[in-house]
Amino acid sequence: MTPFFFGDPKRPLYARYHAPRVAAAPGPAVLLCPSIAHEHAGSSAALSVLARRLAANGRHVLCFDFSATGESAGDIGRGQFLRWLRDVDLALEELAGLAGTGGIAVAGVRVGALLAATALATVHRAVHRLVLWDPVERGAEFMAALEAQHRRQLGRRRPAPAGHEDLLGYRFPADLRRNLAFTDLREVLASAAGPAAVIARSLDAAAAALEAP
Amino acid sequence: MSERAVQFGRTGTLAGVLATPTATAAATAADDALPLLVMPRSALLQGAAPRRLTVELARAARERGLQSLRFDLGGCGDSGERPAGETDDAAAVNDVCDALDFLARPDPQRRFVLLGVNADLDAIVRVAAEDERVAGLVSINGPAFRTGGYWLRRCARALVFSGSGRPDDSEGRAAGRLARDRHAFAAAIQVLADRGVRMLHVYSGGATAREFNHARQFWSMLPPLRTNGRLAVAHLPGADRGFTCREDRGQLYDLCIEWMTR
Repeated sequence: MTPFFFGDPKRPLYARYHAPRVAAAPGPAVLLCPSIAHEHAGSSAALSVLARRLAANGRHVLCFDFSATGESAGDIGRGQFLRWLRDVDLALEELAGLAGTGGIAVAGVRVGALLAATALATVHRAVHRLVLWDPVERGAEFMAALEAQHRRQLGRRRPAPAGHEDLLGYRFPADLRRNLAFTDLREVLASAAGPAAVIARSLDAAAAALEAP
Repeated sequence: MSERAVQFGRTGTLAGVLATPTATAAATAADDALPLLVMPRSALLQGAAPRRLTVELARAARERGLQSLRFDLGGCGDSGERPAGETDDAAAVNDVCDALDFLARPDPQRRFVLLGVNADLDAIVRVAAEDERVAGLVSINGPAFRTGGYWLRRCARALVFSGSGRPDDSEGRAAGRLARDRHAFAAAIQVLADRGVRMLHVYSGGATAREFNHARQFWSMLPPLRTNGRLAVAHLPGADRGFTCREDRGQLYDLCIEWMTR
């Protein structure tokens, strides 16, 4: 695994590149998109396991942190949702450069799946396969659950000051909340002309979907 | 942006991010002797750690002219597996030593501050006790042992705030040997103090208050120590164990950086 930063030098994204550990297998290189906020660390760890498994079977794999999450640069601010969609496009470009020809598959976990599907519906980049691992299907439900957890954990002791944007310690500006709340996976997939998405409910299922010829 | 992804160590698979101050911040700090902050992350903190604590601290430190390395211990986060045949404890110590060797390569005179989060301090304390390059140690929510004063304060608080229901954050807490044995913890602190290592122990409120509820408790929970002013204790009772609120994290970063640049 090789860690590196890529993209805009002022706001670089952090990525882990797993080169194929055996002769590259026929099949697309794989881009992995983790979740965000309190789900980032857990999803990132799960994707590391998936990445190692795919690389051991001959795939080029790139796993990156969305801007202002994980190790990537920046702080969450206005326009973050669109910036995350652009991040997917940047990462696709980076992986294409690393893997050469052979096509690309994309997999995302939870919000990462929602962002990946939304990005692919808008950037019109050719992708061979889209695997959504335990995806957030309705952004509104994700936001509601996050707000409820925030109230349970902190609300009583630390009432949020006016204009406070944080949920569980992560910044969620109003426009990001709105964009996430209005994003519905079924609508995104229905509007996309790309490959049919595969929904996976476990690491094995995600790996099988990505390794299928 | 002045961060660089690095890999180092005896197997070359320890992964971390080296943050270097901008030229302006470095010039403002105007002190070449500032130590380099090293933040090893164990299983509980692998990756960027909850709420990007190590990332935010590294960036806050960089703005104040401090260089830092945050990295995952072997078998955690982005780092590769531990070398076969090494116990968990030995591997963690070797990983921290590898980080110092890597960082000291361009400047053998460089001094370091090691930072550990939660009670699992064993590896950094062992390295700090033996490695002359370590000038300081920061412990966040490190070992805590209940005392008579602790119980008095807890009972008094229960009487005053009965029924208010403190929220309970759920960040995990590792239990290293030092967190289970107050005499071993005291002995380790004494060794560090005798060697001239400066120490900062920070405790939050939240779930940590189940074990620690006043800065003075640090001194009463341990046998008498001769630290010659090298040990500072800070208690941030308004913060929860995971430093969920941004304001609490800001206070923590200021505290650590101010102490390091003093």
